[in-house]
Amino acid sequence: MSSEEALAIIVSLAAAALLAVVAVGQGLVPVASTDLTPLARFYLLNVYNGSSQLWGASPEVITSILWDYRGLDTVYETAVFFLAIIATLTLFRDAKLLPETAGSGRGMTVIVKTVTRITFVTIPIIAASIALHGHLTPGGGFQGGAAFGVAPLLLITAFSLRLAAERGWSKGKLLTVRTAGLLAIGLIAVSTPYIIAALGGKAGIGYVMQNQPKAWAEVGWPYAIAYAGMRVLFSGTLLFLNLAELFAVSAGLALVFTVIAMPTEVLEKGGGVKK
Amino acid sequence: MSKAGSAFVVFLLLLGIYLVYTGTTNPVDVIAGGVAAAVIAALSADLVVSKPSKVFDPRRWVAFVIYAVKYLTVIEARAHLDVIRRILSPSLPVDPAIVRIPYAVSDDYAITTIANSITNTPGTVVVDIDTERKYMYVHWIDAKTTEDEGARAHVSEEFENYAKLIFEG
Repeated sequence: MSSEEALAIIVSLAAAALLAVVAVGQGLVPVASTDLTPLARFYLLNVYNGSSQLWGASPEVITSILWDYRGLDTVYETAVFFLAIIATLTLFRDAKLLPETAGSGRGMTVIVKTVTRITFVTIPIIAASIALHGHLTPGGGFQGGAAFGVAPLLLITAFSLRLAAERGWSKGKLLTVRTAGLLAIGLIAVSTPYIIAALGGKAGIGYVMQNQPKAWAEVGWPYAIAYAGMRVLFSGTLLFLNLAELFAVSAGLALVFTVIAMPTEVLEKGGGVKK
Repeated sequence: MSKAGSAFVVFLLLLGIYLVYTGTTNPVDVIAGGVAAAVIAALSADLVVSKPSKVFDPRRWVAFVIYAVKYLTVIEARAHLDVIRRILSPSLPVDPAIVRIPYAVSDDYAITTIANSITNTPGTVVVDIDTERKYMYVHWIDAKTTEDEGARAHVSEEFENYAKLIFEG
């Protein structure tokens, strides 16, 4: 055994011993403090408390904050993301996704391709689950969309962009889905008074991004439906906003990945760069 | 017919994954997951399944279950113990080499099963594959032979037999 190997073994053992001493001596402390701030206490006591005027009709505090208490922030955030994608597209405004100019289409080995075929269809179903349960469990529309984004990225990496072009992906289609998602978020944001009137409730003045009724603005989305003896909680606007956000983010990420994967010559031509 | 069959197979797979991942059998979730699975299957099933009738062949499933159990217990344990023994032996008994192993299957899933079975057992890694001449290039921690058929008998023959039963044809 060389002296270097001996040294490596001694250092490893010393590190392990140190770790053991720290873990046993200190006791492992909880990651989150049990000493809540007044703000945290407010959210935890109100968010799923039906008798509170300030409830969000959802047991998921984070989603409630994102889409209800601080809902406008998230709308603007989504708009900023949309603007960033528009800016990216403007740079390469005339770049077209065509099979002839999208590479050789050879891609990686058959092993990688076969595994990618399976993950390409299973990632979106996981993304759907994350988004559809955003009002119940950790997750939501943006998280689902971010998970979905891996699927087009894997397909482009394993098979090359040519397969995407041959399967009929186009900037226009992806942008349509992206815009429809954002439009749906905008409609839901101003929908609350109309929804309650459409369902036969008492019409009144509401706020932008209002989810549940407040004492001074008594309109709100229904938060659950009951059928066949079961009660299904969908938390008012939260489920629909998550769903719209899923489409907006998924198509947005797929669009950006597709554009930046294009060959340099196509991008240069599409951006109007003079030769 | 084959296209609708492919979509149906992928739909079942995705609905199963959705329900297991979500951890519920609530009818609303079955409907929501079903809609999502149907959309994805309609758009992309042709990428995944080309001969859906193979999925409904019980002999393939029996071979799959036998192989899965045997691979995850006996074969994995044997390979792990072998590599653990090599690592812990002071004399470091390794004789690494990249060997060329021929294979005789043509289905993509069968090839992938063989390659991933080789890679997932400690001691052997598939580093490249030549699908035209049907060779896998495998890094082997203790190359007992560098001759094609000999290496095949040692490394991949059992995997290939099962892969053939499960996917080929």
